Amino acid sequence: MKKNIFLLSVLAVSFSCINKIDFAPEQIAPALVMNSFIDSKAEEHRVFISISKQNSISIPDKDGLQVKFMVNGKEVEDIKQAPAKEGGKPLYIEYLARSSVKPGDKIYLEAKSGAFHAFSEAEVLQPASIANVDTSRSVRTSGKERSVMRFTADVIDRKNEKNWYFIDLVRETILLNDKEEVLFTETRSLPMNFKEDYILGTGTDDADELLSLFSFRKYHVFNDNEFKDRSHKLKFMTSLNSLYSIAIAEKYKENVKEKRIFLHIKLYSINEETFKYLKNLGAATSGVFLPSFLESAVLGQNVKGGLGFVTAMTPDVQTLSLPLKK
Amino acid sequence: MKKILIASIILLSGFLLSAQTKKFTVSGFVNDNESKEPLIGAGILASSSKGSVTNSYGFYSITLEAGKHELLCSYIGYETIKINVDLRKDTTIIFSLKPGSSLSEAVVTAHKKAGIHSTYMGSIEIPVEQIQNVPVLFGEADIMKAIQMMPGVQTGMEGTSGIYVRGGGPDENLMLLDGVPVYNVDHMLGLFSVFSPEAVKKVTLYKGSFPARYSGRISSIVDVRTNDGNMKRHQGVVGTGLLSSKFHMEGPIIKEKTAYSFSARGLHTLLFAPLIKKAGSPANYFFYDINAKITHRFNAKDKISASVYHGLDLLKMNLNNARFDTGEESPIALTSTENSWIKWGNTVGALRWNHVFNGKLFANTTLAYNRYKMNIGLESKSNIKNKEDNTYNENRLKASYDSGIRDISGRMDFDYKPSEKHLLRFGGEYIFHTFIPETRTVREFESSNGKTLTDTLVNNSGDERLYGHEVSLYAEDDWLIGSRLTLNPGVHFALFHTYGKTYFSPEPRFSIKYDFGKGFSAKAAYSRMGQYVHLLSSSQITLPTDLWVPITKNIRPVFSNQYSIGAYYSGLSGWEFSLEAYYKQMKNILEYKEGVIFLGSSAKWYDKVEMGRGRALGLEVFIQKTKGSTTGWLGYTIARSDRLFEGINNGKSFPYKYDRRHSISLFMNHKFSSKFDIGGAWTFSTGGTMTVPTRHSMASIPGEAPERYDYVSSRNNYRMPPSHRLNIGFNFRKQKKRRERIWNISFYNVYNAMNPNFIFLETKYQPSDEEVGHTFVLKKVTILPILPSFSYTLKF
Repeated sequence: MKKNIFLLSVLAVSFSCINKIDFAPEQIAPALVMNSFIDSKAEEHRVFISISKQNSISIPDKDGLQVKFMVNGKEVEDIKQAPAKEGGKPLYIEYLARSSVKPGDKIYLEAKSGAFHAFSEAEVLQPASIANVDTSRSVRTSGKERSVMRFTADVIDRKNEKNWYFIDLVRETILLNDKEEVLFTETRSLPMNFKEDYILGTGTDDADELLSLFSFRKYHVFNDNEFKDRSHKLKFMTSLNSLYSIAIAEKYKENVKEKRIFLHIKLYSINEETFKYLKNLGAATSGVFLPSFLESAVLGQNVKGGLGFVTAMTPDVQTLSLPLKK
Repeated sequence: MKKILIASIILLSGFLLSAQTKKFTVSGFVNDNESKEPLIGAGILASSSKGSVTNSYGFYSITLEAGKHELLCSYIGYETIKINVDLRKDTTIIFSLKPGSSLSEAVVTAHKKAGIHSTYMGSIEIPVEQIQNVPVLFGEADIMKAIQMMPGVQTGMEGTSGIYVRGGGPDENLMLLDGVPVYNVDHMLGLFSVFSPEAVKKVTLYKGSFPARYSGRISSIVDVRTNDGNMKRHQGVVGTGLLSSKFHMEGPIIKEKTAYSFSARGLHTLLFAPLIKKAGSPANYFFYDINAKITHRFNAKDKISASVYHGLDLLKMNLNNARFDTGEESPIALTSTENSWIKWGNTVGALRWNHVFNGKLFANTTLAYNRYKMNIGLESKSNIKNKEDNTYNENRLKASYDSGIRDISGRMDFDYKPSEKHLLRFGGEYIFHTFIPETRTVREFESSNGKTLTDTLVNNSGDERLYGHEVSLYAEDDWLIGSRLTLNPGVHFALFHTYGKTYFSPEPRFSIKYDFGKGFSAKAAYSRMGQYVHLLSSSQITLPTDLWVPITKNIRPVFSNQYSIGAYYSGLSGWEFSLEAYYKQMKNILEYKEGVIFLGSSAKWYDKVEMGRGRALGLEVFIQKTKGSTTGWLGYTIARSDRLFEGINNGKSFPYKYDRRHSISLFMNHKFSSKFDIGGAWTFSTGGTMTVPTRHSMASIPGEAPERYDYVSSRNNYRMPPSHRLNIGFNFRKQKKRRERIWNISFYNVYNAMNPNFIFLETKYQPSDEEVGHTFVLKKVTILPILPSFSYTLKF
């Protein structure tokens, strides 16, 4: 008897069950999603339109979709759809606005498709100020993957107001052929380790960080609590691997004669709404859902009549040319 | 400030109201006749209906008019003693109560001021006998599991011992072991608590009106008192169950003067560690607890005791001498060793001196040291040898992560009974906290053919050691007005100094009880509590990486204001009925910011949390049967708890994750004979809340195309399914001369309810021609289905 009880217990302990839970979130009507991060220094402003449903993402009927781009109350241009990307089912329809905007301009974006009507307003925010961007020697820790390049830059706080900032490290890659013609260009935001990180934990790799040296994330935002009305030296780093690792498509490989890599250190002055949005963006898009260990992020929305987030900013950009690596 | 002044006036007035007629004091101790163990909460009732109750050290004091009196001394499970005294001077009487043959034969008739009879609300005394009879996981009697069955107490994850009291968080409960805080009360990720029932004498839970002598946490106080040890004879307990074995021994060192008490408990994997290693298993996990106490009575007035608790959990993995040689033909040979471990535990030491100044004044002085420490370590070494050219590379990594908290404290408590209408308690405490939030050291070494390529040492202290100074003073008065009205005004002043900043907080307490007669009574109370330390934990289970941190310049102390009212009935012999309602406001509570995970770095932890407000309200029903062959209780709670943070959930209020609307707990123990009894415990609770995505959407990304993400409408927007479970335990007892053996057979989760231990979300890709489809599928992991277990206990 005792033996049987023991065996039964051992079996029970080693047995765990996974069962589906009846999960019926309230029935949600489809909603139009409008997203745009407008950069006043960019030549084009991209506006993305999708349809959000309970169990899927789709695009609205292209023919019936109307998108309005207005600056200071005027419809400055009849914005057009960008050519659809090749391959896969589309998740969005992209529109391109080419009108120039400047700090202080009020932008109104509107999308209509059948019964859907969504709109959002955003003011182009004043520029931030960044200076003295520099790199220091790279630090080799163990293997190329974990070697880093350090950067410093001064942020100069705008006086007499509360400020929020967003720093972005953008790599621009240009591949040239032997005639110095551009074969391929790519811009990519790089993950970085940011000493003044006011969004600690927005990544999902804290667990890995426990016994390692550095972790790298994107969407670093911070405020001026620690350097009100003065300047402050920012310290950040990115891995050499992400700086130099470029996947060159087969079709270019033969013809690439030269690679040029530029690093754009972009500092944006943002509003509190955008600060909160970016703070949660990494977690919201991580795809990690571990309710027992991690609180899911509620990503702010500012599109009326639909979903999505629209903001307009002006970066101060400092550009570095990286040593060439072929 | 006004409130403090009023409270002080109320307290001082007690001194002025001393009696005018000739009165004398009867004082002394109440103890067990066989072991001389002091009995806490024993009642002493005089024929004039004046009564007293023994304090945490078994001391009582009662002031009576000169003349003849009959004194009745009683305690649950003991035979009541009646004695006649002719009072002509202050007198010391030590009552030695003889244990009744069983709990069911206990006679509880004396005037009683403990539990529902006390002025305090929401205080529950849980007899250790009942704790040992509550059938729980793996048949391991557990104090925390018994506390979880009290109304107003919610559980965290199924099967774990965490408690969430009246809408509060897991770090808002002060666990006191003989008056000394224990920071981490869990073993094995919370499946077991550190309190070994064999060493415990008394457990009291306070969740409503807190006596002024307690502070430091805002939601509950769990006061665990351990045995002093048998002063007359040696006795012990040995027991073994499915997972652990225990040993308890106590007895006199000098008869009726000095006694010891020693308990040890360990997981079987500790005892069989060499065998496990020999069997080739690279991993092992075990925990152990040791409780030791020595008590010496100098005389009727002085007693000193020294106690030590030490507990440790250790999970280790040794991959020693692992060799990966791809064969003789391979040009490469690799050898590597890797040892990793995680260990955590508490050490608590206390030195205690009880002194009776006179029949009216009793003092307890405690010096204590406690420490919680966690260490994660990794040591690895690898060699790669090229057989062809005899070149070789060596890699070494040594990493260590430490965190913890250490307290050194001194405390004095006084019980002063100036008259039969007043019992004043006052005292003070100083605690020197040292917080070690995080120290990480990583050393990497890489060489090739003896030439060093890399030698990096990173010593990354998230923060320096942090120090906190906590000073507190308190005073409270049990004030009897007439024969029916009892007040307990009190105030606790606390001062906490850290990060160069000092916080001062007065915490007034007030409770009132009116006795309507015939067993009916009513109470009302107000308590303000403060808390100066936080536990950083974002999971529902107790992880060793959970970290205690102090308040800072910007993270202010947590405060709660709790208002409660209650109605009680104890007119039916052996039964107690209570109905309590409460409303609790919490200020400056912490919550992790959205998307933050806490499994790793605590660096700048204060930037990971938000400070906000909380609110909890509820109604609790508790029916307890304390006499007869069938004993037990029924508890029901209807409650609500929510939170409001500026930076979370877009500034909107949301339900707390342990907001369970209904909870029911039913425990019954029936004694068929002295040889056989059955205990059954059934619990039900509405599911807590969690955050789940409700649709798919696209997130705007700066400079890039948007990304698909799972849209979350609000925090804690989904209520999990309810949990319910029946546990049954059978005790087969056999009494032999001077020893008793007990076989216990228990069934955890008898009807195999599939309660969730973890919940996770799967997103299934379901594309159609036009859409990118994903369906959310929520799944629960049940790791505790029906679990039979047995244990054997021998008491001698």
